[in-house]
Amino acid sequence: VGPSGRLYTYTVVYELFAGLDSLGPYAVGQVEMEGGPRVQGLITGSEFDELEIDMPLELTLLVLGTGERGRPRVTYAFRPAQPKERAP
Amino acid sequence: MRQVAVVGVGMTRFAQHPQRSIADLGAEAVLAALADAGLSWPDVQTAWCGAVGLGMTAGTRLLAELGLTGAPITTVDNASASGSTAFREAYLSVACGLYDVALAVGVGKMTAGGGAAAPADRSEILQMQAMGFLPPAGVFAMRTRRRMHDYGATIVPYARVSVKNHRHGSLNPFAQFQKEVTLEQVLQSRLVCDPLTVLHCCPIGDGAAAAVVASLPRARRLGAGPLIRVAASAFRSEVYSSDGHPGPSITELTARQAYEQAGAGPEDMDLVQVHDAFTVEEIDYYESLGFCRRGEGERLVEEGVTTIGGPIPFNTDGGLLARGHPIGPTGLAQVWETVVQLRGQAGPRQVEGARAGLCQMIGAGGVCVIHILKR
Repeated sequence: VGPSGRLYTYTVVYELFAGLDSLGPYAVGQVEMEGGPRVQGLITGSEFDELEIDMPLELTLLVLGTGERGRPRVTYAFRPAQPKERAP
Repeated sequence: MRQVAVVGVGMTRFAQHPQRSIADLGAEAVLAALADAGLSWPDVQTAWCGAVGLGMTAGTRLLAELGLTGAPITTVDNASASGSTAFREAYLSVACGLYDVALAVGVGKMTAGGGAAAPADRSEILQMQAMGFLPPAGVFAMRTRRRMHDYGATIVPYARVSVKNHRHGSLNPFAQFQKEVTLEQVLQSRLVCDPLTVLHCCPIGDGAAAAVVASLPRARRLGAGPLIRVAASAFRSEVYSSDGHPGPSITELTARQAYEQAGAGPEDMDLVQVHDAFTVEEIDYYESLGFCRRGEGERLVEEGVTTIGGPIPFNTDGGLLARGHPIGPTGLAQVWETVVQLRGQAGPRQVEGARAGLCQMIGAGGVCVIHILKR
């Protein structure tokens, strides 16, 4: 599975649990990965109103905290595809 | 297999009943169903109870309150389809010839934390967010968003499902919500998971519902009212299909079996009850149950086809959106509504001349249960 794909569908969660004080809305999407399956995850680095079905996204890593023996605990998320860096 | 009739139905109003116990709610529904059938509790030879998250042998403990008769009692958990599964097992108990009278009851107390409770630790919630966790409304918000994209729809047709089902609920004294809502109210209510506002989502509530089934000779001896037969009972779990090659939906596959058993098709149905926990589901099931082709569901609700008075009314009692969804009893509330309609006793929400009704429930984890009842 490649590191990028296209947004199949998405939502912005405003209420995670009934009656819970909002910890702030967050976007979740299903992404059709290049040549692979549809993967669900958090979408970061995008304004909610810029999200659009079929937009190109790429994988990124999020640090969740510190785990065993002081090593960082990480998970994947998606962000809008970044323009490719040019070779110097 | 022998033919089976529904001889009695009963339910409590679905609502938030924080003061009432499960036994209290369950007894009200069971005693109402038994009285409707002209039977008493010792006449019941076996019982099945749909309950989710209510502890071990919830059905046995609940029914003990009515008296210890020695009848075999089984509690079943199939998420939202628990009540429908209890009904199917009661039906099979009689159809296979082992018993002449069987009871199905469902009970739910979602206000007592039957639903998902928020973790106390805020860092745990932040971690769930980082992992892209979705509440049920989020799953159906994503499905709605994709349907809008595929079929060029706005949010309006989905909102109209809520308006329609609240109008039906306003005609049902057993519904949790008995007030109409306007399109503007649905569109402008609190945003839960974009694009779904809270009025696109079913409420949290408590309640119980019950049905008594009997063999045809026994039903004829009881004699009251028209005979309502169970014409089909179909039940499936998911089959694997990959994202790239989606097969028919679980509801499509289950409906095929149900129609075949009943020797009938969608054109023979007069009313339909479906699992409308979220508005997009009802539109999806119009298609899966064969009432229109893929992509035409939005048009059905826009044109009033599925409202009471239209050619094929859906969720005549208000559905999960307005009648309510305490989980355990919901499938039996569908049976209750269908029986009341087929007897011609539904008052202001009566579907004229109704002779056949279909009840569909989906349960989390991937199950579908469909029953067809015929007068």
